[in-house]
Amino acid sequence: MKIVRLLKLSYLLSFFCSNMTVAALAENEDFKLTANSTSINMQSGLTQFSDDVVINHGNLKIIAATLSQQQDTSKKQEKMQLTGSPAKIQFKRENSSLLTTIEAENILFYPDLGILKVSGKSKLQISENDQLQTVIRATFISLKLSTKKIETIHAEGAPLYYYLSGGNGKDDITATAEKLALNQKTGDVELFNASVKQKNDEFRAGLILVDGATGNLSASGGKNNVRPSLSIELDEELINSNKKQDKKP
Amino acid sequence: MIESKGWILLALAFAVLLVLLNLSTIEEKASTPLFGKETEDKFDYEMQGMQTRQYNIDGVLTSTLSADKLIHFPGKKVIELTAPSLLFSVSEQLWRLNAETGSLFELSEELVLDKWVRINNIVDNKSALDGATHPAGISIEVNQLTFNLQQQIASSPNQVKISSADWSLQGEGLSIDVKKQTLKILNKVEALHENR
Repeated sequence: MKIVRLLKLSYLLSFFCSNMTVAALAENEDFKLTANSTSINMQSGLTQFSDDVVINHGNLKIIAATLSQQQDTSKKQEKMQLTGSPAKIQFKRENSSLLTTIEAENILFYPDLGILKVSGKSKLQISENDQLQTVIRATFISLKLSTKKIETIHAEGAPLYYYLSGGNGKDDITATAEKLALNQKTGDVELFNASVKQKNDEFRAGLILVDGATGNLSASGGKNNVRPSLSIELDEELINSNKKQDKKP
Repeated sequence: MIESKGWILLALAFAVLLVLLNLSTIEEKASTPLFGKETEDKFDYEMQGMQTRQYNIDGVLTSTLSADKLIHFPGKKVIELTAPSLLFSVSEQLWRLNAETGSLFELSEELVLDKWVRINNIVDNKSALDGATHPAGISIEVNQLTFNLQQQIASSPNQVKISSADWSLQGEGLSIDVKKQTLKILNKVEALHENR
């Protein structure tokens, strides 16, 4: 009988066989995780690392108060959750100087789906050579990832804040909006019920599209056409200087 | 003459008194009880190169417990094991538990394993229950492990290392609750994944 009780230990051990999938992020590179404590519950499929969790994996660094990994055996889906004040993910694309930083109180990652959901004082920042390229501050941000690359970003806020560095002689763009959709491949950004400022000009529309290739702005009333298609407040100084030039003989 | 006899009697009486007085200051040694400490520490049986096998209801071998030496102390109600090794199969997976020494306390129902305690997941070779085995897969290493058979809680305050082919998880302090099916590493956790 005593031996039988002892044998039950092995159920826990067999759990490791299927539970070492924290390595979902660590396919080809060394992975190091440090924490103050860890707890593995075989019954619920929950693994938790607590207090000063730090993960280093190649160009990826994660800092959080807790890291939980839940295996949903019925859906054959895995979920990882980071919490912190804030939890922080930082990764650099290979052969690139682009550095992406995500900060939030709550970060959920679905490795099988490649979806990262960020909520609670969320901030996403992309910089290149220490120069800010993109900043999104929102209450909720969702990213679609593929092999350590961001494909799309969706954000919601009340309102959210968006910053895009101009580059190539263009002026920086700052915006507030209810929703944002960013296609990282094309660079196109859709801002819903947005107000966009570029230098001293301000645009308001149901939908403002920032063209990723040219940096040009276009606007429409949005899906429900509830707002005027475009409202522009041009820089008064620029208008006055143009008027003076027109009056010249 | 009478006076000298009187002195001799007085001297004798004094001598007797001194002896009696001296005796009273000497600590009295307790007599050795019939079932004293010496008897309690004696073992009632000993086995060398022992091996026990356990079969399930279908007659399939489920575990093999072996030890270089087993000594039972009925007074202390302890079974001392030298080089205990337990081979067991669960869910078609084979596991081996080894330690240099072990003590099974019958009263507290605690199994204390000492010195290089290892629990290994072995390649699926069922014949290994009877013969030589080659450790592979998951293994747990800890210097000391106390397993409370009543509460089904295994614990160790020492450094623990859990590793697989390319994974290792280590820290200080281990707690395994079999009923709740939880494993905890209590301090200074470090998980490493190495690509080989």
